[in-house]
Amino acid sequence: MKKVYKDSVLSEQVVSAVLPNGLKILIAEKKDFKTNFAIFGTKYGSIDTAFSVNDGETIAVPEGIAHYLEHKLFESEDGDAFARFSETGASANAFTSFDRTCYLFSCADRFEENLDILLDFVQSPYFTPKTVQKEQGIIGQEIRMYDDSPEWCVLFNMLEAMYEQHPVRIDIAGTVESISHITAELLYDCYNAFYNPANMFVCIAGNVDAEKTIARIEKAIKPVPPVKLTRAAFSEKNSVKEQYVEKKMEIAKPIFNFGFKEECVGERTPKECICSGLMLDILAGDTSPLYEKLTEAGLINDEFHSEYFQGNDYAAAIFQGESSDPKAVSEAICTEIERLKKEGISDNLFESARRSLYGMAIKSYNNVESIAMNLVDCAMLDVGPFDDIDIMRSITKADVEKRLELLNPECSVLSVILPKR
Amino acid sequence: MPQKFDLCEGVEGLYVEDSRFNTTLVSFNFYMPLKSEDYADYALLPYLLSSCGEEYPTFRELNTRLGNLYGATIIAGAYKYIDYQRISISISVLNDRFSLCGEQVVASAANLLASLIFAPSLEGERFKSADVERERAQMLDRIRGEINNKRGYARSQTLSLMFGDDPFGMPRYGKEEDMLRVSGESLFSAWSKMLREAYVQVSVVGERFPDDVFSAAASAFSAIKRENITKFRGYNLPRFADKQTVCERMDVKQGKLVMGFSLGRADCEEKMADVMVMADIFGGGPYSRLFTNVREKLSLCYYCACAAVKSKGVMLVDSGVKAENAEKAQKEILAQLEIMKKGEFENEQFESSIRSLCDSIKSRNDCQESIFSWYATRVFDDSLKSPEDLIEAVCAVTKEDVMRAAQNVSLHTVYSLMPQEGNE
Repeated sequence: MKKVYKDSVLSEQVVSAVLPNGLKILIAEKKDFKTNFAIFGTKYGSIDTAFSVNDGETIAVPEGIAHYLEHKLFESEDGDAFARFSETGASANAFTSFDRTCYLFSCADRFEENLDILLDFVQSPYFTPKTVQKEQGIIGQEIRMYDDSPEWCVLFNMLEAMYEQHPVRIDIAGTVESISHITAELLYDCYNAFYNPANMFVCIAGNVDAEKTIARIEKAIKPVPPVKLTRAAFSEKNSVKEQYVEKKMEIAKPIFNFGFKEECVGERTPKECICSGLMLDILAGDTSPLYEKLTEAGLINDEFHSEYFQGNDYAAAIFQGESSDPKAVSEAICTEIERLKKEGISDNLFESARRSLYGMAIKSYNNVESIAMNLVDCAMLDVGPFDDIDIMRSITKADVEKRLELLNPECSVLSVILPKR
Repeated sequence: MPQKFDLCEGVEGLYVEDSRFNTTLVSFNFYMPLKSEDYADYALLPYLLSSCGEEYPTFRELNTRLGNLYGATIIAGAYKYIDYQRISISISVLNDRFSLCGEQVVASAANLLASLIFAPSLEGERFKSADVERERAQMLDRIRGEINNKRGYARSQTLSLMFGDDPFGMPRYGKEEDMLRVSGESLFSAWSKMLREAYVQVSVVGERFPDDVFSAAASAFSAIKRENITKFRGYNLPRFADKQTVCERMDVKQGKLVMGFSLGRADCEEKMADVMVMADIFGGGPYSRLFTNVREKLSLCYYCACAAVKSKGVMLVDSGVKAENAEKAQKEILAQLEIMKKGEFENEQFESSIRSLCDSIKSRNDCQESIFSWYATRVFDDSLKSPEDLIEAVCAVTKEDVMRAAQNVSLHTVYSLMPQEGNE
């Protein structure tokens, strides 16, 4: 099942295919580029901590296991994938987030060989008690490194205060304690559940022939029986656990995350996400009266920004920054939300923010890495590659104003990291 | 092929035609001698100039204008480059064919950039105090906030220790005490001097020849009495400070170990291709000695990598370690360097490195910002060398060249940032 998506203004084309086993493939041909960027990913991240396969018993797995699996998948019985990529000169990497794990490479030469390596190592798990044990030291060091990152801590402290049950509250890499419970058997359980082609995608941007590449992928995908995967549901309240949390660290100035929890139901549509992003830009972006007022009062600096954070059964609007008085900033944000709810958004601000967002979307087609990453979002959400640009062309002020109504100060959390000295 | 033009004395125009990108990148780069006394002024100046101007007196008005230009973005900063400070202000803007109402956005953005540089918001012969205060406060936050990123902080401390009085050892944003002394007057004086004396590169990477940008720049500079223009004085090894071993304690969970080495010589990238390959085999990709041995085999560090500043003859190895493993990691890093010096690295490592470096250099032409910075950091090399020339230089490197490059390397400074004692 193949489909060709085109955007007339962008002069871009994306070919998509779904293989009979359910694997999604999205390819953007960029014939005038030398670089190729390929991602083989699965809809499996840190929030998938309990699941059942083929209607069997629900199993709960240790926190951080998706990330652990990502590390271990690079190893096979006869060496590691990095060694194979060093034969070709490609640069390879991987990452795990809340809802996905992606394996990737970029290269200028020998694309097909690199693609074969990527497809092969992700489909060839090799976990033994010895190799699993060995990784604990390195991942333990990675966890400690993140423990020293104030930006990381301030976010997870906020999520922990915001969510009582939903696993978005846990650190992506888990804890030194939780990863000590990971075994080779558990890694295989997770692998067999989530690394099934029906739950996976391949996204590529670069100087490639889409038709030939799809055929190559189809040939390389190993036959595995389909699985019925059920993710455990979490009964998360709409209210927050705590409204204020703080911690001290070795930093120069207090940093904060101020988040508004939204209803914990399903996933937001692409249009809702775009409208929320635009609403935050209008409310607190560098063209907003709020940004100007807080800057003039010396309460924020150019670290201040906002983002719309969402996934399966979770969503929050988050303001982040540095301030000598985070509480004053959070109060000013709430006051501005109330004012905008009453007075509405000005036409000028709306148009400037909409153009800005549209410009950024067009700009993201400047390089193959960002195109491939955009394609991953499309595969995750099951939407077309140019849907976002179409939405931006047609979005209205009323669409954006509706998203403002979701910001409820009673469901907000202020997380602060204070300087130790 | 890039084209270079003399716009007026000490001002070059550089155009790289490239229609693959949806944006045009217009940049002004000013090269001034790197000096401790005016470092803070030039560190702050690009931020101040890009925050407002005579035409858009508040940053909100300026940002609204940028939003209406489809989210045109200004990228400003000051960077240490050989023995110079590169003060850079650029604008990245959507090409005209994407505007929703047919506006000429590229020309508008280029004019806006020029107006910020040549017509700032002044009160007589000084910058407005409210603007200076606002931008200086932000800069002080950046300087003080360096400690927030422990890896970057540890690297910066190592460079400061190595370079001593040499201004290349300055922290990226300058020193707090110098920033506190910066004033509207000192900034005006630095700005005027920069327009008179800097060597300037005006570069455009885009799909249309920028005759309007170049002629506007030529006309703006011809109205200025250009004199005492920055001249290139070659690549020289710095006067390093005395060797030191320093351990700082903080309430951190992971220790940082940074080792600063002298490369024994300094030169442009093409002439340091042997060093490039040596540093890459030693601590570059996942095939490197440090990754395969210190991290993978011995599990001593989460990361252990090396990076060389070839134009200044320095190389840093930095790692994230448990305090109890720091000494062992240091010994192992030095043992791996000895292997490099004896040429006992594996042939596959040598070949992997050449392949990987060539592959990544080829990709540099696929990113607009990389194309811009390729030429901005070769301004004194007196030629328009392309990535292909660098690939040729890398491919010509032999195992013996790598061994000799390693033999010139000597340890200078060891800096570590460790958890408080009793908390390790």
